[in-house]
Amino acid sequence: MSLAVINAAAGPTPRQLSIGACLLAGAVLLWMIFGVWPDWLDWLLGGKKTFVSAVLNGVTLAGLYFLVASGFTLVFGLMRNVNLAHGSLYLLGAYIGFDAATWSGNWFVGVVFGALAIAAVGALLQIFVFQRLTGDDLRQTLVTIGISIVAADLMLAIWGGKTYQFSIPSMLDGAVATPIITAVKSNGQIVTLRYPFYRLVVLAISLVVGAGLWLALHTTRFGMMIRAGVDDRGMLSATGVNVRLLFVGVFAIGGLLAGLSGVIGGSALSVAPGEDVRYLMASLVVVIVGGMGSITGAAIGALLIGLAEQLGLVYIPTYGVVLTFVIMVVTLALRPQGIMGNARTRLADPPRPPAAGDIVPVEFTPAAGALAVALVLFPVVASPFIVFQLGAQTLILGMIALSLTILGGYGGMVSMAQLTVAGIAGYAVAILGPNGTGVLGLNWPWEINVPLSILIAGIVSALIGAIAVRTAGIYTIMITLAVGVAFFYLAQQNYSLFNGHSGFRGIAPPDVFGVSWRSSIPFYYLCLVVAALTYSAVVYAARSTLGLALMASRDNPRRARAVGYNVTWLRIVAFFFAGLIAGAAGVLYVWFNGRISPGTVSVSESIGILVIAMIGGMRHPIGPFLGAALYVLLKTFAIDVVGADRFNTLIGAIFLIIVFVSPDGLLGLWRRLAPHLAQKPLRDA
Amino acid sequence: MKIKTSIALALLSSTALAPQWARADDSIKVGLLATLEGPFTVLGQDGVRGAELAFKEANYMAGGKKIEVIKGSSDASPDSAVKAARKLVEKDGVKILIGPLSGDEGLAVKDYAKTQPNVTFINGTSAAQDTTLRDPAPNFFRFTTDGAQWMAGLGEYSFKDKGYHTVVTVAEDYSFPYTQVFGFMADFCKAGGHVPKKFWVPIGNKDFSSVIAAIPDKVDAIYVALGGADGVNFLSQYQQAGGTAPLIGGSITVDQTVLGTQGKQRDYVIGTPAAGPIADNAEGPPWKKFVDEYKAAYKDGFPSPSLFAQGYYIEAKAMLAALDKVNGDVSGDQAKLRDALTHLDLDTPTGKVTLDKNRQAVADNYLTEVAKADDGHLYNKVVKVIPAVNQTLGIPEADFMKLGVANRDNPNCP
Repeated sequence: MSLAVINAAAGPTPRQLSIGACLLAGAVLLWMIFGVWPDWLDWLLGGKKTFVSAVLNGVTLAGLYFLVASGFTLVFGLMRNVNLAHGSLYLLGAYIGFDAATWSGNWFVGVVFGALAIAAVGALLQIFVFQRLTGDDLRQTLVTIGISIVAADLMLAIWGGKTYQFSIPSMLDGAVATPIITAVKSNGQIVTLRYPFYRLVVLAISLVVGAGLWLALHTTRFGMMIRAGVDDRGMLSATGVNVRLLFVGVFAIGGLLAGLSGVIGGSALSVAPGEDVRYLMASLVVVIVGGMGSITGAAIGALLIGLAEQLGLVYIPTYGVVLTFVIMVVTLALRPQGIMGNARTRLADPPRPPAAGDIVPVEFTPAAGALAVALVLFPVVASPFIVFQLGAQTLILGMIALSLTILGGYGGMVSMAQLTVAGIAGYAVAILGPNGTGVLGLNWPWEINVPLSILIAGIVSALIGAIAVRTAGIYTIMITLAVGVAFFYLAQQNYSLFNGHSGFRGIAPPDVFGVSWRSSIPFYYLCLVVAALTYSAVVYAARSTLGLALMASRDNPRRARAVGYNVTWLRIVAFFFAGLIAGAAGVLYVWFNGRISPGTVSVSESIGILVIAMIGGMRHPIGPFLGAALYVLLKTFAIDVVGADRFNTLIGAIFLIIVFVSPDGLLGLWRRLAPHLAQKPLRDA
Repeated sequence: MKIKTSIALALLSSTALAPQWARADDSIKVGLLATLEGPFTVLGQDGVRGAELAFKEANYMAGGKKIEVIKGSSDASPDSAVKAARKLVEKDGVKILIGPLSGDEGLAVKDYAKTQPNVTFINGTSAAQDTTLRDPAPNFFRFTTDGAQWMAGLGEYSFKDKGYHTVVTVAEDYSFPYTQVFGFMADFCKAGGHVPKKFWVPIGNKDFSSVIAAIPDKVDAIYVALGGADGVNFLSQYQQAGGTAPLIGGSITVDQTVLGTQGKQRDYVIGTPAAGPIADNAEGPPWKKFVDEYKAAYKDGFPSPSLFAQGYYIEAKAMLAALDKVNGDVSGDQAKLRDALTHLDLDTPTGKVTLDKNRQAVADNYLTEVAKADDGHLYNKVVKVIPAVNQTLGIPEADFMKLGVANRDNPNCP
């Protein structure tokens, strides 16, 4: 705005210029859709039919994305609740709608049933879950992650891995003729484009819903209350509005939209496990680009992402899936609050560490000494399998979770990209060192390869930090999650550097000092030494000026700034150090697995790291290792106890209980229970 | 309190989790690894059904010893497959491991097999070429055919009998579809066909409409190698977009998922040729007997055994037959067992199976076409059985290796 004021006298204002540019672009697009193309354009864009179809598909897909994302953004706008179970609601709506449609033989019954059922689920979630966590945005978000893990697993149990296909009423099915000319044959006959009618229906529904939402928000009393709530929750309840009821209502609407889009979208494509994550990611990117909490933003974001996805699929098929994330990162770099978001929402909520209270100071107690001895003697009592698969894996995952704990516990920034950073170090080792795939493998000596890989991880982590620290609190979770997914897709699609879906195999630690470090016991001790080093480094760093400054900037960034600290730099440095730890763990992890592929750094694995950190507790650096021990134990032996297919329900439920009962994890749980269990309270309890 | 924690940990690790040393001489522990979690759960369950059917037939006895089966589960990622295999071998102490189910898992388990010379690994249904073709493991056996072998005969049939001379391919962007397209094109290009464009869609992509619009108008047919869910999506979207070009299917494209779905695409897929290791209504009593047994044993199974049930069944049968020959001797380096496996002449519901020098199956392949039964359901009708397809598709090995590794651009005949 200030720019506009300065330039007011000198010709057209930037606003006028941009309107002019938009009009021109619109005119060109209209001509490209309805005009007859000259040959050079046909050649350039691979035929008009291809281009116009991709644009139409992009717009109709945007309609679907808007439907899904509108519920997500509405809930966020009012409640600051980043509902990461939104995708699960979408999928559940689709399944319920499918069953209802099959049972009644009527597709419309399915639509109504799916939407209403999820509206009810949304309202119930608000009443029984989120209401209890009011004011703790981060815990609400973590709870939604837990819910999504359990929900995905239960849906798999109920509906199986099958793909369901709605039968659309015949009046909505088939292709229709459009007035768009795709080609003129040599005999003068005009060929027009035929387009699937149902996709146009999807677009129409989303336009109606969008207009309805806009009108409801801007003309009704209910809408006024919601908008007032978006701006200032506290004032709204002070004016006598029953905010509780309003919240339930909004969550029901959010659910309604998720369920509706589940059936609508499920009919356009199909219903299968995994769609929950897909639409969650789409919603995340759409609202991050469009601006959190804004319906108009969701529309703009959906249009951008829909078009990028479809045009990308046709014109740059290999990297099309990465394109949407590039748009997201660019938007964040230029306008962190998103296109239509306002800066106030972005930083309105002071970042809050997931655990209440301070980090527990680490002291060397006899107990800690005993634990250290136990860890060293562990290989003596346990079998090589236990030492390797449980011991080493626990230490490695613990280290990755530790890097998350540093950022979350000390810095107040929960990063979902820590496994990605570890994976980058793993990829670097595979690429720079020897590997058994026959692709790349530069065979650099380990003395160069390993430190360099860890350094690369640190730098990448700092770069992710540079993007993430422009925002705060729950935003950090979303952005780092999206960065992680972007890397997953990049690695999966790129063959020249990452060797695509297959990744690299045949990667082993070097034989140094005549020791085969890949054998169980040496590898365990290697992991133990690295873990002890990182652990000590964290303990030391926490007491250093840097660590104290970081904690200060977590608790009150403004005051830290006033004292003279550059909070942004502090946080980026924290990301760098966390990246080094994750990188070291990543090198060990690739040696542990002997291989690395995109699956190693998939979303579910990333969420696993967060689960480990939360279960263990973020108030003490030993927490992530405890969490990892429990996680690895369950993962390995779930098949003998509950059956492999229910591992996720089990771990998700434990995660939910921990988040609900004890925000500081197992450690906190123990601290609370110990005085009740013991006859006399122990010294430090 | 921390002492308590550590003592508890130590106790837990030394008692509850210690390997069970009790090992009776009269039983053999066999690991069964399949995808029992994640998106491929349904397929993994059918694989387990197939293996258990073979064990039941033998009354869980082989070579005079009791077969004790321990299940392992992966989520289709190679990491999880190796972790599960490691648990079965190193913790549960299995002597023979059957599995895994999918391609990249197979490559990872083969690498792991090299570190466990005293355990014999028998494949599940994983079908990557390089599990046995390049750098094979001496203790990894595969009695099922690979993704390229599954295509044997299809390219030539499409060109000569169907008269499709120009074909575009639509397949997912990773190694298994590369191998399938490779197998199809090896035949098809040699017969004189042209593939002007290959569409590789990202894994998990559900929206094919823009790809469909980009398919050139002047093609005789579209070769589609998309698994279950994606195949259904492609078909319904192609039909919605008013597409008319006939289809050619990969081995997992026109499976029960596609044939069993409702909707207009049903009629459209009739006449679609495809190829693979099984056919629903193959002739011959062994197959019919297998199907009947499967149906009788598993009311909750598929209407007809999937290629995963068939694959695991064959692998389990091979193991049982070899164990019978060596009287259940799995001691030491298992040289006898491996020798028996290598020289096995196995009769299966889908024909005779023998192994080549890389311990890779040479087996019959089925060329099918979708047909409509009298009661209205769709099935894959056998057009032709290609006998004894080897891993190099009948091409001399040196020439075949020159074709290189299947990828996005190889092979190429525009």
